[in-house]
Amino acid sequence: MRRRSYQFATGIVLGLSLILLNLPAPTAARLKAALAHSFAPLFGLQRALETFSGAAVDRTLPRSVLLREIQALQRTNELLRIQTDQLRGAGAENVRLRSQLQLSQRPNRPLKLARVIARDPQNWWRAITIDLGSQDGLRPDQPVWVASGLVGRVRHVASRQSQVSLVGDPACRVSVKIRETGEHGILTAGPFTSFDPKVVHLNHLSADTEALPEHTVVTSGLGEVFPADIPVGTLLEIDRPPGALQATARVRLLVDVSKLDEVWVMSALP
Amino acid sequence: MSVFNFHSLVILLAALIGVFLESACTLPRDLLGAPVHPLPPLIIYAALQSNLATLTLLAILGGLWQSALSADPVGISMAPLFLVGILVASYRKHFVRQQWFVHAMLGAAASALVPALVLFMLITLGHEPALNWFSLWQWLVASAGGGLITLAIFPLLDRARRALTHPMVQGGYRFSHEPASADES
Repeated sequence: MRRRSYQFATGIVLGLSLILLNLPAPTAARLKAALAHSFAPLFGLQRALETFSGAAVDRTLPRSVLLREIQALQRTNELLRIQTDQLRGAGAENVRLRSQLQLSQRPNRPLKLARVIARDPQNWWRAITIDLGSQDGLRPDQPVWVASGLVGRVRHVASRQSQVSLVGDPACRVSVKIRETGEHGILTAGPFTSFDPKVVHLNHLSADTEALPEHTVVTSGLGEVFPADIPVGTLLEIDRPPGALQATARVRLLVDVSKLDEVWVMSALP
Repeated sequence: MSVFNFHSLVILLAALIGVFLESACTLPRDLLGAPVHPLPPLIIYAALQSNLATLTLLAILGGLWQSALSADPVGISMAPLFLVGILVASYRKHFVRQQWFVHAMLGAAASALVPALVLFMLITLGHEPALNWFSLWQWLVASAGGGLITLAIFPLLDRARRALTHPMVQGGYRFSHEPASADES
């Protein structure tokens, strides 16, 4: 009797696993989004706790500290306004020159601030969950970044949250270029020999590359997912195997994903 | 005795909260570089202290919940969780179930085995998980952490069971106006 029930349960689990693993990708994504709703009350509770603890910290902060902070922010704001005014002139000039050369204009896409609410529970994926979803206008493949550099791209979108594949995840390959030399390559997951999760691989460099360690790696703008010139990382070392047609390099990412609390998501191209 | 009782519900609720904390609470990840998985210790608890229905439901729902917050394919950890659970449940009579050392060892072994099986399935299915030498450290942390979590889970869930279930009375219940039977008096 017991043996039969064990066999029955095993059959159910294995059968269900087979069905789920063979689901078409859109159906699997929809199922994931539906399952993510199970955590909605817990994420709501987490947000409420954070708001409550934030309010408690705000009340204990001395007024003098807040005033100093406001003054510093006002100075930074003023400085940035001056820089923006200078850049606005250069931007207008750039638009005029592009139209004279009959080049397409660079799209100016609005950014949305998102909070990081969870990280991938598995060690072998690099992904985070953010608190914006399809209700906030998010779509798959939108680029995600912070001031210090590129974070990744939106992969799955649920109604109120989305999963972001981080740079270095096998699902997030990025077309990049080396700023100093202009050479192009593809960033992929880190090499197996690495012990540092912040180190990733740069492939498809030409064998006679002029790139050097400490050179900056930025997005190339090819592929229409990531806009051009977002900083990604710095070159650590270049491997030029003798006789090979291509060189590879190790790149240290600029963004420490373990310290991310908020990220910017760029809206999709119209 | 019903197959699915309040204790089963508590185990499933613990799994939901555990998967949520694993993703939302970054303290172990920040300190040790790896999260600690709550599902393998819970599977060990269900295999030793609960019934087959609960074990099966825990593997199914736990696997689904985990994949909802992960980039894993949907339900990939269901089968590894269940296989580890059913293996322990099959031999549960051979374990000294009240010994904390046994709980810790089984929890650590399950926490090592489940990710290894999931990884094996991922690679077999043609996925390319990001692995490097640091993954070995993460695996060790997950195994040791799983052992420690198992130690905490057993007394916690046992206490919840005692608090939420009424103890069975020997000889059954009777109303106060009913006369006591001869063997009771």
